[in-house]
Formats: sequence, structure tokens, C-alpha cells
Amino acid sequence: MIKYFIRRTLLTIPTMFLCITIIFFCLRVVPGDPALIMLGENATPEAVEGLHKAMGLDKPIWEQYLTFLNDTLQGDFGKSIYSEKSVSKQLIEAFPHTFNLALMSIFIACIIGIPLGIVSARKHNTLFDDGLRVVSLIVLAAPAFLVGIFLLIVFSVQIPLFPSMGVGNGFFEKIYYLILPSITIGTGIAAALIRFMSSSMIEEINKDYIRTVRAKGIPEKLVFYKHALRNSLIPVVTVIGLNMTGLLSGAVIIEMIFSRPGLGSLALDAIFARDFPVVQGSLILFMLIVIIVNLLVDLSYSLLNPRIRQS
Amino acid sequence: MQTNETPNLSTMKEINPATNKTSSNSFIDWKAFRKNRLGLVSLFVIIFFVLLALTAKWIVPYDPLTQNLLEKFQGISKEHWLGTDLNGRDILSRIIYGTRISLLIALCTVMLGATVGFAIGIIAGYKGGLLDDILMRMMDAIMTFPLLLFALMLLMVLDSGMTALVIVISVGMIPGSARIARGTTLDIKDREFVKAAKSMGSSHLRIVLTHILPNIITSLLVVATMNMSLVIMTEAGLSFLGVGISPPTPTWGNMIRDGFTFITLKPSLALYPGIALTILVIALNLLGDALRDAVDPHLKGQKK
Repeated sequence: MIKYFIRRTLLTIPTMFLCITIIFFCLRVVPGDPALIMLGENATPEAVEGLHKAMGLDKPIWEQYLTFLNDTLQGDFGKSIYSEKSVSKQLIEAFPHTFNLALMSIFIACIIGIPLGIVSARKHNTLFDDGLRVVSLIVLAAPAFLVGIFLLIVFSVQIPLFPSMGVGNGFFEKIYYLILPSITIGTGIAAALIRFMSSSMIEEINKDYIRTVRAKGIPEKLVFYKHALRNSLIPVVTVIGLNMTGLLSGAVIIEMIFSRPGLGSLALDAIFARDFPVVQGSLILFMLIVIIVNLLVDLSYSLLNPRIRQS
Repeated sequence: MQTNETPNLSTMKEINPATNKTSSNSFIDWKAFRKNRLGLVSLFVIIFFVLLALTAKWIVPYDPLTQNLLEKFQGISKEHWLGTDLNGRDILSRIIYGTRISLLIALCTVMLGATVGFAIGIIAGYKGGLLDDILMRMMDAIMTFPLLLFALMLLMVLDSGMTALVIVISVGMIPGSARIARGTTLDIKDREFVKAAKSMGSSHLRIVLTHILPNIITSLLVVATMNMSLVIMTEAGLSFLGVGISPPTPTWGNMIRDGFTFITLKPSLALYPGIALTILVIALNLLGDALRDAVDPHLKGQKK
């Protein structure tokens, strides 16, 4: 068990290393001089050269790469070109907002997705099940930004129930501000969850041990909720893991629509301002989150299902 | 359709067209596909969109770029079926032209991504060993990037435009295809007919081209269909953020972006292209599901 944990954790190191390398080379080797892009076409040669020196761009590429790797490993992503603020500080400030959004979205996805998934499995091949499948298909296909825009219009502009921007202060106000954005992201995940949950439940209910339980004369409700449900909850963890990259991509757009500070809007603003250090830093943090979540999903998966550990 | 619904592509490496015993090169069971009503309907919807895109020049009632400020923000009327936008341009014509861009980008992107991904997957699976490890870890690394941010970052350094957009989004399509191709290759390369070919002195290239590739081509079709909806959504998202195809070219993302500015005044500006986008994505998802079911031998066994 501990051996598996250690092995799986160590396996993330080459992936992280590769990610950092890809980000570095994407921003350096592709055509275009970062300094020139940042300063604009009309920059004086002196200014470009000065920025080259400041960013270390005058050194050979491998030396830049080693410095970059060294700094990154120490959590130093440099300074923002415009605000002169330390990138790691900006990332730490923005992180909680996105974290809250992600947590709340997953929560909403679970409270919608799990019960509906169970109902869809119980009423398999009925009109209700078909209807649910159509709705989840539409929700899965509608782009998050469209859903977000219309939630914003209906529930914050036309009927002023919820705030249209900001994050609020204090626990309850924060949750209040989170409701619309996290419904936007959460319903998309819920749609995937319903389909996943329902198919795993149907698969579970057809297994031998359920037949045994039924043969013993246990009431059908108990068979469903006590025995089958427990085992079919495992995929929920997987769905959340699989949706993590989608969730973070969604956060970029949702944070923009609802004018929330956070990693997404930080990265987006930096991209439009061509603020390279901030872009680099936020991309690395994004990738780190995804890798860590995938690791946690794998580990919890092996905790939930002992069969995986052995293989 | 109900039996194995996993939206994630990585699970698709279980697809193994080779175990399907049909003798022709096509491993899609068209008989099974024809029975899938949802799949058929979505196929017709997609054909409809493709026809719209191909004939856009002749069927649009108005030029999508011609501005007519006297007629701006009109509602639904006989002259303008879906009304006009902020510059008095006909919305229906713009949506039809937008179909063109969306489908063209989706097709190019998916083909490019799948080709590169399949090449990587076949090499990794066929060669095995260290090369396999390195290539697949790279795929894992790319998979951890949120596609949208990754595309935004690359579009920042490259010049934005159609070609850049296609290349950038296709990078996100590579890992999924590579995994599927690798899985199938691993499965096929140890089978008797490949061994026989090897012992008869076939070169590696010949084995890949005549034995492995035909077995993977069908998966390509399924992956391509499933990825197309993802590409269309990403492209619309990028256009919405303002880094995709630049206006005034009518794309659905651009139209939604324009609509967002006037959302309180006229929500239908963003709604109509959004509906078109949603319908196309649903159809592509359903068609992908149907094709997968028609290919996947596991599912077929369960249905009969």
C-alpha cells in the first residue's frame, strides 16, 4: 500500500519536469522575441536590449533554461513586468478565489449529479430516463460561457437576485457570490456525472453479489441504496478528476464573465498584457494543480478499490 | 448507447477494431449503426450543417459583412428571419457563414491532431521501450494543460489567424489520439498475422502500413467525430475571449462576443449563434457515440 503510494507520487516528478520544460520552450523557441512582443513594435533597440538583460534573454538558451528550472523549483516565478509585484505573491492571492469556485462547483455537481444519476439508473429505459439524458446532452453541449452569460442576465440583471461581479467578504457572502458562477460550471460536470453514475449503477446492479443479496430477500430499496450505491460511487471520484482540466479552463471564462479575481482572470489579463512571467507562473500553477488532483484521484481510487493496488 | 457512456477519450483505448471479424477494411458495423436512430438523426443534422457551409455563398439572403446602420437591432421579420445585429448585418446569413468557419477549423484541426497523434501512438506502441515511455510521458504532460489556456498562451506568441488557431488547438487533440493508436498497436503487433508477416521478411514500414494502419483507421473516424465537438467549443471560446478569428469575419464565437456587449438590450444576438453551436455539438457527440457503438465489439455482444 505505502509502496504504491510512494511509487505513484514519484511518477508525477517526470511529468512535472516535462510540463515545465514544454512551457519554457513554448514561450522561448517559438518565433518572436518576448521582449519585442512586450514592448511593442516601436520599441527602441536600447529598451529591447535592457529588457533582454533584465530577463536574462541575452544568455544562451540552455543557461536560461537551467536558471528558469532552478527558480521554478524554489517557487520563484520572477516579477510581473507591469506591476513589479512578485508573481508567486499574486498567484497566492488569486488561488483561494479559484479554489473556492472549484470546490463549490464540484459540490453543486455532486448534489445535482449523484441523485439524478441514481434516479436515472432506477428508472432505466423509462420516459424519465430518456428525458434526463436529453437534458444532460444539451447541458454538456452548451458552452459554459453561453450558460454563464444567460444566468448572469436572468438572475442578476433582469431579476436582481444575485450579484453580477466580485467575490464578497465573510463566509456566507462569499458563498452567495459563488452561487451563479459555480452553477455555470457545476451543471456541466453534473451532466457528465449523471451519465457516468447511471451507467456504473446499472453495471453494478447486474452483478452476482447483488443477485445473492436479492435472493436473501433484502428489500429492493436496501439492495439499491446500501449495496449497489456504495460501489458505484467510486466513478464519481474519477469524473471529478477527469473534469479538473475542464474545470480550470472553465474558470478562465467564468471568472471573466462574472468579473471575479482568481487564477483564471490573472492568467487571462497577463496573456492580453503580454506579461510573460505572470503567464508562465500561472500556467505552471495550473499544471501543478491538475497533476496533484490526478495524483489524489489515483490514490483515493486505490483506497476505495483494493483491487487496483495489487495490479 | 446506454451501456458504456464515458465521455473521456482515454477509456477508448479499449476499442479494438481488430477483434471484429468482418473481412473488409471497414470495421464499422453499418447494420448496427443504421438501427441507432439517434445516430442517424445526428448524421442528418451534421449533413445539413455541412450543406449549409458548402452552399453558403448561394443561399444566404444577405451578405454577412454588409452593414446597414438604418436597420440595426431589428427583430424577427420577413426580410430578416433572425433579425439584425448592431451594425444592421443579417444574423441568419452570419450564422450560416459561421458554420463554414466552425466546420472548416474543426475538420482541419481534428485531422491534423489525429494524424500526428496516431503517428506518435503507432511509433510508441510499435517500438516500445524507452521511446514509448518518453513519448507517452510527453502526452501525459500535454494532457495536464488546460486546453483553453494553453491555446491562449500559444496564440499570444504566434500571430493569431486561421492557421495558428488550427495548429494550436490540434496540439490539444494529440494525446487522446496517441493513446488510442498506441493501445491498438500494442494489441495487434503481437498477433499471429503480424508475426507471420515479420517472418516472411516484411519491413517495419510495410507491417505498419498494411497491418496496423487499416486496423486503426476506424478508430480515427470515431476519435475525429468526438474531438470535433471539443474543437468547435474551444474555437468558440477563444473567439469569445477575442483571440480567435478576428472580426468582422462571422464566426459563432465572435457573434456571441458581440452579443455579450449588448446582452441586456437584445439577448437574441448571443442566443441564436449559441443555439446553432449547441445543436451541432450535440449532433457530433451523438454521432460519435453511435459510431463508437457500431465499432466496439464489446457493446455489440451485449446488445444481441
